[in-house]
Amino acid sequence: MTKKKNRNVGIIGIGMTEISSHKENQNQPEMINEAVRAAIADAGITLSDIDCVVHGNMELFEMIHQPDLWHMIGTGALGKPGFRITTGGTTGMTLVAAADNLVASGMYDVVMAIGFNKLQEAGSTTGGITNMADPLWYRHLQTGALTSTSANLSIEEFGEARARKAAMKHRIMMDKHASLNERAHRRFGLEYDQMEDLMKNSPPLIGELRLIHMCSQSDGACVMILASEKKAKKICKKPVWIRDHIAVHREETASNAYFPILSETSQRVAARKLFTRNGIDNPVEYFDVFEMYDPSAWWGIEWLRDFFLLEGDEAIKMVEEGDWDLDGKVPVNPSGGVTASNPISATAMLKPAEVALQMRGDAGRHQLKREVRHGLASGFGGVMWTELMILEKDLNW
Amino acid sequence: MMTKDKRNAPAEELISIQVVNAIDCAFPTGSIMGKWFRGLKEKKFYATRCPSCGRTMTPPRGCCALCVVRSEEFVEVGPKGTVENYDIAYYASPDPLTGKVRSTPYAAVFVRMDGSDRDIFTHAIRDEDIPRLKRGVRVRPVWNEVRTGSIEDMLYFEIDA
Ligand SMILES: [Zn+2]
Repeated sequence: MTKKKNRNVGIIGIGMTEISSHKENQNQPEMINEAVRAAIADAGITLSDIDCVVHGNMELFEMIHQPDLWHMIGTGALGKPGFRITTGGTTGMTLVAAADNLVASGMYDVVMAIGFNKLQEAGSTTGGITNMADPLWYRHLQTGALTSTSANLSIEEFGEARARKAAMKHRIMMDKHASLNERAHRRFGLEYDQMEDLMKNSPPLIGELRLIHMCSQSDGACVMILASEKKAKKICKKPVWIRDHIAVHREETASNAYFPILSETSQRVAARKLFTRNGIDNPVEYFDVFEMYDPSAWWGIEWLRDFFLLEGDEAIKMVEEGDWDLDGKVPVNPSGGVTASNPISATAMLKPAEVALQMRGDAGRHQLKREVRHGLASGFGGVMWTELMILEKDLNW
Repeated sequence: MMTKDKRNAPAEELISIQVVNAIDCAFPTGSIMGKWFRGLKEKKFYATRCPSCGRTMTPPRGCCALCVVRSEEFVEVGPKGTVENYDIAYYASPDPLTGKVRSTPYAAVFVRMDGSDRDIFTHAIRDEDIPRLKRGVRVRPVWNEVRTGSIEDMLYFEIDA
């Protein structure tokens, strides 16, 4: 039975490079080729089986335009239809959403999505991000991707001690998960008894945002191959199904991003719309895993409330009680999340990729003990854009 | 799923090429933002008001994206306003416009200008006022002696006390 508007789409191949601080032993097409080869091998197909290639990154971070053209030797896209997608931080998930739409539409049977960034090549992500701001006035004022505005509001709402502790607990939990993930970039081996020390001694970046709270700057690539239901069932033993996804854009100028003109955050709007149209009344109950694009621990604790449509202190209470842990109510970021690994335009693709690996039972050392049947993955980008995707192990929703 | 790169290239073949990009750019304002910059030259802040929902937009925009209608009626807002949030930078990131590393701490304030609706205007705050920054504090603009119709016509906000 067709669950989608036109036809169902399955993930049949996943490939990713190790995520690291720099990859001086590879140029861009070589790094991408590593993930492409891994995805094709994972799917058990050849390049000739791929009908279309979608390719994306944030060009500002390498300062090279039209990289899809000279990456051809690494992507294998020569002679195939192709699209280039670049939607900021959400790029990785927009690539998957586009590949899903291209297959669901009936246009192509097998589509390969490639997301990457090699952030060390242009040296300064903050410089790149500032150059995305309105050139007429906001570039002169923006400090980059770093902000403490979310922390300021959490502290006002929950009090200094409780808010700071919740953010740090979330951060240490992420590091504990990352420590189990052999592909994760930053694995510090943090323990919960270091909380007080880190809250005091981690170098301050912006306001309440300290170095330990913030995401890394990483190099890496991720590739996913999607196929129509018929092809997926023929090619793949364990296809993972893309049930639905939503993009919620915000219209404010950058300075308005932290103070919604709309009464709700884009995270909450995305969650409410997506869950409503899929008949999911209780997301905490429903989902077995959530891979969240959490650029900082402060945003992490704020957005858990929005994504699960929680109110008041429900979400940070769940942080305090370990409900987001690997054995908790909803395991969040078994991969270690974005504070551990952030090759930006691969980052939002790593989220559904990790969910799919969990569903297949192929996650490795960070494989969850529970059966993962229903998964949620989010992407994030400036100015406060949200992508949210539901994945299913079985075609039975 | 994951493959390790097995090639072991000799170290002398792994070369990084250093490049510095410097590109001159010129960005036209259009008439709506042109009014804003001309206003700054005259120490005035111009917002637009949406004819449909009535909200203001600072800096002005020619269309309300929520109502999808043109918004070309200007209203003056400020010059004083209220700090809704703020960012104090302790990390010395290079200024991408000049390449120079700024001295820290410096701070940005997110200000609701008097007479505006829910929209926020951002600018720097005077360094000496950073220790007194908190949400709800009142601020006023400090203007540049020489004003040319750019965002730098305003130096920063200072606490209005
Ligand atoms: Zn309107």
